[in-house]
Amino acid sequence: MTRRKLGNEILRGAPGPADPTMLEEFLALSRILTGVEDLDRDLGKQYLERLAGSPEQPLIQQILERFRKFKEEESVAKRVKKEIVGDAKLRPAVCQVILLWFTSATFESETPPIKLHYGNQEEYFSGIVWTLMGAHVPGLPGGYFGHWRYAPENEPKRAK
Amino acid sequence: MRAPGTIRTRSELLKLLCEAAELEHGIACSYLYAAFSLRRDISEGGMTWEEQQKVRRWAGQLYFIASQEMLHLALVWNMTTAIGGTPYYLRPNFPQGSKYYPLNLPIELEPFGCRSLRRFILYEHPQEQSPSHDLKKLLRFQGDDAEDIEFGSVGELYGLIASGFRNIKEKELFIGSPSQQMTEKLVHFPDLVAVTGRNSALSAIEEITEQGEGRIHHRENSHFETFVEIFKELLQAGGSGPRFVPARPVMRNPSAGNERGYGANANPIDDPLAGEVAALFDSVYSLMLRMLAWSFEFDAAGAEQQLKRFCSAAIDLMPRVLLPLGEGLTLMPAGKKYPGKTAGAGFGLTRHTSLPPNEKNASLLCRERLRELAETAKRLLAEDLSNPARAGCQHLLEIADGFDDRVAGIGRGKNVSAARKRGSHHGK
Amino acid sequence: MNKRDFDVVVVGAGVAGAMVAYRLAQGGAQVLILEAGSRNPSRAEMVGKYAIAFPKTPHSPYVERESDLKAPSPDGPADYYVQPDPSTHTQYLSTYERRTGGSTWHWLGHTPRLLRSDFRMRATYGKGAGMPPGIVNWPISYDDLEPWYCEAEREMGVAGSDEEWNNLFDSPRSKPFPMSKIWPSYSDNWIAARINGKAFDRIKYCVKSTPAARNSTAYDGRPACAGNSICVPLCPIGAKYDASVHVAKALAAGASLREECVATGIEKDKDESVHKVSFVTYGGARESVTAEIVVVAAHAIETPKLLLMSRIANSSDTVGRYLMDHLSKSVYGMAPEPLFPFRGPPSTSGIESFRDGEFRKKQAGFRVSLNNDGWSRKGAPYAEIVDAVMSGKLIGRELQAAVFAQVTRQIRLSCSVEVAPDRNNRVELSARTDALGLPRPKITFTPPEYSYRGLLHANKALGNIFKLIGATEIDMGKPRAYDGAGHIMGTCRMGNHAKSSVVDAHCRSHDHKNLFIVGSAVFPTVGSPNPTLTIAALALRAAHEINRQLGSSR
Repeated sequence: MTRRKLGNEILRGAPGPADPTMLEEFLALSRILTGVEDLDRDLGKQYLERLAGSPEQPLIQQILERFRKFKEEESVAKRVKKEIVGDAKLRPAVCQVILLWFTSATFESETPPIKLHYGNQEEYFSGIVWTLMGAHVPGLPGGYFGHWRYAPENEPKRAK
Repeated sequence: MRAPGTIRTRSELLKLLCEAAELEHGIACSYLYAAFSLRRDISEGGMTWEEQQKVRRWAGQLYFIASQEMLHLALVWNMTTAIGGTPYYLRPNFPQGSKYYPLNLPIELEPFGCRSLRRFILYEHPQEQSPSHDLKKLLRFQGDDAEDIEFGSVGELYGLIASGFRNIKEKELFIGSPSQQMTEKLVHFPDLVAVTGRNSALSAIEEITEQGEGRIHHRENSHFETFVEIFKELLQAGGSGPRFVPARPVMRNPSAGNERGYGANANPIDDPLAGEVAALFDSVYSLMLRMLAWSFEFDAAGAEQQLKRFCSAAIDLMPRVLLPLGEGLTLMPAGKKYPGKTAGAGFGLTRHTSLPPNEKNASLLCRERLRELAETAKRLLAEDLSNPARAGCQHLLEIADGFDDRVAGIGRGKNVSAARKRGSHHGK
Repeated sequence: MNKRDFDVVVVGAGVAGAMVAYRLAQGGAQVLILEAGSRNPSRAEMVGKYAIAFPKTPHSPYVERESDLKAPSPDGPADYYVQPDPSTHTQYLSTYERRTGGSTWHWLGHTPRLLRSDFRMRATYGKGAGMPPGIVNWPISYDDLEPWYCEAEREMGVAGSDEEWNNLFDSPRSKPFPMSKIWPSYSDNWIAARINGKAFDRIKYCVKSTPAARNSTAYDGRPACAGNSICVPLCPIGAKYDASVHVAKALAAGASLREECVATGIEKDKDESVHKVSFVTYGGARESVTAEIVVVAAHAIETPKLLLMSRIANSSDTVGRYLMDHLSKSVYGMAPEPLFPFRGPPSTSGIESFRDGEFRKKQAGFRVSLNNDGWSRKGAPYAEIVDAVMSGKLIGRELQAAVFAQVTRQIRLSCSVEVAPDRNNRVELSARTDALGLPRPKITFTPPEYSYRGLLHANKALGNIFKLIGATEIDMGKPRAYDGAGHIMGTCRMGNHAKSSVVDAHCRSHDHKNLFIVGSAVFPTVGSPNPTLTIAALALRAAHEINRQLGSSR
């Protein structure tokens, strides 16, 4: 099921549409980083384009190059953790990727107070962390009147 | 349209209350099914972020209206027990053709859309007027017949019920024990009031009709008006730009399997896992109904706390199990027989006894049944089941697990004496 | 007598002005509402602005270039107010919204009433040694206002529990709430089970659902709350009341509205009556209108500003003085198990137990709110995500689990402490001007020690709640630190004596018999409840008086 684009502003000073391989790699990597299998392709394209136009672009490039080297391996997740996330230089860019998928925002500096940049509304309302954590994107109805009385039906798995 | 008449005997009144119970119940299921079918996330496709705002709001409004129908059912049950009857919780399975009720409208399970909204508007149409010219124009859409819309409304039924409460002598009529009456102190139904005499019966009916059709010049908060507004919004939204698809491609009138229920020609779900989840939905739904009906019949004198705990287990099943299973089914495939369609909850009722009057046994039957259903849920959790159906199963496990604690004491209290026998008190 | 343009001109289309205009138009009067701000676009458009705004401040959905320039709505203590240096002086932190509909666009929606003793602080608690001299009795009692509270609840659509609220602190309710209560959240019920009945300093905690102008059922053609959770700053579906409801009703009843018209002066005639209101449009055109009666309803900073600019209504030298707020304080903790915040309205329950009592001889009372928004004010869940990733140890499902283990257990408790009136806390005209050349407000505000004592006590009461529920990672903030509650009050106080107050018991200026002032500016003392319901009740009562005055002059 594809998303409709109705002339929403996607590009914010980005150089141009990403090449298909790069997009697939970005999506594969994002799945590992976020722990979510079902990531929307069109959203991925938009986020990749946003990152391409951001200060993180060179780091993203490096991350994808590194990922390309072991993306087919069975231990790919372990290698991502060790060789990409484990690299303190690359980590801020990793964080941007995750924050984008989770909340549609990128952040400006790691030290508090955190300052955020949002893209467009479609991205904001597609942030996935909210339902994962048992809530809803702030601004969308959470459900029926009174649902807040009960534990959420999309309650995150309790840590053992 | 129902033939004009007025009600003069308890038996006729009880029969009508059963009809009202059946209708409120069936209509509530119909609304819930439409609500389950609405898309939630932009990633599902078919809507922009602005449309998503509308769609999510419509879902909230539909759920709210469904919850008020459930309140109406509860009020009807209170009216029933007040005059010596027992709560009627059965209903024929979906679909029911348009001639089954004097409504002259089909009651079915359909995803949200113009067709279902049209039915909803007519269910709630104010009784004392025929559809306005504008409304007729609004409801007619391409390919529709040229006949006049002829139907009876739920409001008319309540008009007859009210006549029964007025005509029959109060003292003779209200023979139920007041301690049978359910209020929001005992069960989490805000605005649920006890029915102990003619006045309270008539105000319960007034509350029902006011919520449903509103009052002349004051319809803005009624179900009727809400549906009309949603219908207009839907038509407006549909007209602008590429296709706006607010609902998932849910099948119509599903049934969980081939078990013989109360007639009706439903469409059996073809996908095995979806079929099992739908069957679990039906079983939980049936148990919940029986628990609630039993609670409304039970004379709580002296056992209010235990009854409250028993009810809360039943009520919890709705948001924590039935809602996620119902929504979850609309994300699962209907099966090869229904290409491009997703499954849905059939609200199927099959043969079963009501819970026994003896509270110890009633509690035991519930505990047993919850444990069995928990086993089914456990089995389904081992399959490739995703949220929200997954969450529904997990919550069922929790509720089954917690049941013993919750109702500890019911049936272990005072001796079941003659004082608890139903139907033998006058206004104590 | 000259024929006036209108029977009544109302300056300000917020909740007070809109309700007055509505009632007067219903009574047959020719009413003009002048609003400095512009009309808001559609709710969807405002939600769109909010969605991509950072930070998501109260003003973020309402950002509009021209309006923000010509009729600035402060969104922080320094962007419009002229205040002394924050490093050396306490600040006034509350802000407001200049748009058609006013600050009710971004209010939370809570509608508790003032208590009986709030109207009679001086009489009830005597001349205690700790009681600031500014504390006075209102010229009306709870009983005088009670029927109007009921009216206001009906007009706005208030949901509440009769059982929990009737006769709280000897303040009875003569009518039931129009709607049954907003359901308390999972978190509220969890906390209540652990603290109800336990005492702190001999006062028992008792969690109650908070009455709110938030629909629990379809009301007035608006839907029931569906838990969008962004009440502050905007309800996307209109379940929360905002004054655009009464602006629409006023217009339907025949009132006129001119927006983007900033009032610049009210002229005094030789006979001390006021009939002419001058204003400037965004385009720079200078115009004026005349009316039999002038009502100023521009909230408690713009109202005294206008009166001071016009040099009217101030024989008492009280206009602008006794500026008040509630000292708001948020404290944070982590519950021992998930409570699932970020759902439902930001707050659904509170504790009223500390609002009244003998202690008010020496220190301020306060309201407590239980909140459903986790640590969002500290950047949750964004901050938790960033922290977890930057630790370098977590990705994927482990990352999710770590973040959720935190955010699902987050609690924010808050208090709202009564600020006692102090003459020296005031609004004046500064020498600095805005884009239209009008003076920016100069604000002086130091909370009195009476209120600081209340704040410190509230801190302890909240800390004790954390103790009782076994909370960890507690952040109580600095003891004397406070936030603005958004409750701007007190600058045109009501009283019986013209020498010490601006308006009488009916909100009529002592100095000018055809000038009325409505809104929170007229509160002589503030108690601890959110002020909007009291604003609405007083406005309806004043409208009744204005109607009577108009009738008798025809």
